[in-house]
Amino acid sequence: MNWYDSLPAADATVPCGSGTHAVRWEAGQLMLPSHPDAEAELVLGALGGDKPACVKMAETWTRHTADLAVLTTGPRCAADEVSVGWDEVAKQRANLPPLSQAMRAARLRATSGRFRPVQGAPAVPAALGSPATLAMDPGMAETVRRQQQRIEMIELLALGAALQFRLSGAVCAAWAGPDKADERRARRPAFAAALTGRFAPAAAEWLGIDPDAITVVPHETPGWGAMELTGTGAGRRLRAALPVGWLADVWACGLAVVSGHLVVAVEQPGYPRASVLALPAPDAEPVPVDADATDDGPADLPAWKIAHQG
Amino acid sequence: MVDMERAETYLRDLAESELRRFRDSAAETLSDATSRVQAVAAAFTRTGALDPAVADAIVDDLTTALEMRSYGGGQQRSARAQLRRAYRIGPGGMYPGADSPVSVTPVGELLELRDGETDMDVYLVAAIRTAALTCLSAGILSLPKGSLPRGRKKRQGLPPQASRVIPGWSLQGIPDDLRAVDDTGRCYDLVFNGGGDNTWSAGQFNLLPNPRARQSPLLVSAAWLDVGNDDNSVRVDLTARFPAIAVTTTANRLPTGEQFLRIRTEAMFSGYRDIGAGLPELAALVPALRTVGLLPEESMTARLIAALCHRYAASSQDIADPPAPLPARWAALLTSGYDSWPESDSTAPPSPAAAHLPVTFPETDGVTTVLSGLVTRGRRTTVIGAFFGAIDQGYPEGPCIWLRDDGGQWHVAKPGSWSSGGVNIFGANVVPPVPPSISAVDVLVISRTADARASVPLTWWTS
Repeated sequence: MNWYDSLPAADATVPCGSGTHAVRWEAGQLMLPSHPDAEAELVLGALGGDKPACVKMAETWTRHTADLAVLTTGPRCAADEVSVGWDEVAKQRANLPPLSQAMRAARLRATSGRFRPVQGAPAVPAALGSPATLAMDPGMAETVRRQQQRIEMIELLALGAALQFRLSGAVCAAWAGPDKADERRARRPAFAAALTGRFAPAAAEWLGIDPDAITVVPHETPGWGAMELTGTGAGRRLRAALPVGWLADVWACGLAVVSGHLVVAVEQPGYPRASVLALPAPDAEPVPVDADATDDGPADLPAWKIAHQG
Repeated sequence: MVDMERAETYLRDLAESELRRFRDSAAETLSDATSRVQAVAAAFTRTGALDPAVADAIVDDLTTALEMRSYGGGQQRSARAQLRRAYRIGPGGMYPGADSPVSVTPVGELLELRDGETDMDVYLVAAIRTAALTCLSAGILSLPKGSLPRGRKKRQGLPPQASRVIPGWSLQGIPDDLRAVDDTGRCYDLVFNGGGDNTWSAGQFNLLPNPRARQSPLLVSAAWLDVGNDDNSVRVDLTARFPAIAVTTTANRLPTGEQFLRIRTEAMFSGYRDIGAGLPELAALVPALRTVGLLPEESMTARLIAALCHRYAASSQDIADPPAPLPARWAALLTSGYDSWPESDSTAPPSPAAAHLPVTFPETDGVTTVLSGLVTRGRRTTVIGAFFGAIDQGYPEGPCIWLRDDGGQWHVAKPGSWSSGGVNIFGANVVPPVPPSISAVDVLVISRTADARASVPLTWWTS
């Protein structure tokens, strides 16, 4: 039983060689139908041959499946369109400052005494700067890391809305397990923002409340979480506690609001039918509901409606 | 003890809110969407509520997210690099502060230059000296050939010079061949830092040893300098002394957040941005600082910001504090028509005038403020001085300088700045201008943790 069982396969295209190739996300994996023997191509690449763009993209995807930066840059809701074209990717790559400029900027930061590595930052890809150079100049390592992260994020977002949500789901799932509790605790503000940023649009749609009046904190104990609505009129405030897994199980699968119910947990993921726990109203207890995917919804996510209330 | 997790959560939630606003409003620019987050990030880092690296990362992440929502659209995407930092500080290194004695020497010499393409009068007001730096505060009048009287004060020019330390350095309305020779025969190039309108400029001449040397220690003990060019020169007596000016410093003993908010609010008046334009960012600091426990519920500064928001019809959704009456100096400035300043004057401006303003304020918050003089011409008055110490770019928390003249009118100094070896020498436009009829000013220097005051008599001199 996996979070992504509630999602159908999705396709995107990537410029590769002189044309474009399809890449497919299915059952939590990114696949390259045009490169059936991608591993062999990787070996060839390591031996000095050209590595196809599709293969590079798959590597980039894999590198970021637990990267919290995906959540700070990626979509918050279906209406949050992050439309990046491949021409923009090429332009951004061309506009990247040369490494020498990055080094200068990094030195300035380092000499101002302000450089400190950011906790949880992924390592600098080996392709950028020699390890010796980076070791000599830690500020440069941080600058290069940020530059590379930015350009890779643009590439990933260029895969389109369907894969943007699926990658976000993968990141959230990677952090949702009980074995990650200590690491989540160390990044509690980041997860609180990730939850609030995605829950708020859904709850605003559900209740007609101002999204700025909604706050969510990570829920770390058993159960689906908690919710409290206070105040009246413009003074209404909604406070919720939800597990980080809600982002993968519910939000990334387009299940946040189904037929006027707010989904707080998935009991049995599936496509086209998923069994969920949903709140008909803020002060109500969650009820088990079967949701059916009826059609393609916005942002290439399934559109769900209640099939049966248990 | 500040709760850093609370501060980080607040900042991240604010970033999410700004991202939503950007998404929902086509009128929002990248700059609009990041300014409040950046202001709060700076407040948190400056008050110790948040690690600067974390604050930087949040601002950076927001900027990236906004950029990625701008591609292909009509949204403004400019100036992203400078938006990425929560705050910046000048280049690292040693700052000559309180441990490096600063002296201000009255000069009061007029150097007449009639040998160039234009006629120039250089009003040398004062010399500011430390072990590492000497500069001459000056006002410069540059008019078409034949406009200024010839040869009222003519002295021998300085010996010819083979080359300049910075060849080709030339600014319109500024003499580019000035140099100095001290009492031991050492030579210096004068390089100007300042501003003006090509006719009247004010600022400071830096003295750079020629030939180059690591520093110019001899100038600290030099008795005199000859300053001029091939054609004319004046002798500057470096042993002259001002009568001592008494300075009173009062620590404000406010909570950390209140101190930060107060100096940021004061900086709206001493900065060049329109006051109304900066209010939303300022207002955003009030709930932010309260959330992390650094600003009390009863905050006079928050009430003043509320009053300014009311006055400028700026959104005050972040502040529920009742407005407080504005301080007299703010009210005086806001009613002086300052926002129409500088304006063209239909009548010919009078001759320039200069006055000594020799005050050295004790170090506060790591910064020593030194004033040397006032120069004025028509509707343009400049106070000249220097900040010794580490100061942020743009001076958002630097000392704010106010003058109250003997007629009771308040004037604020709006510094432009130029960094030189850890010293920010400045020529600050004074708004509204100070006419030469004023015979004394009270100087108020507002820093984050203390206010300093001095009363200075003014004796003006002119050509």
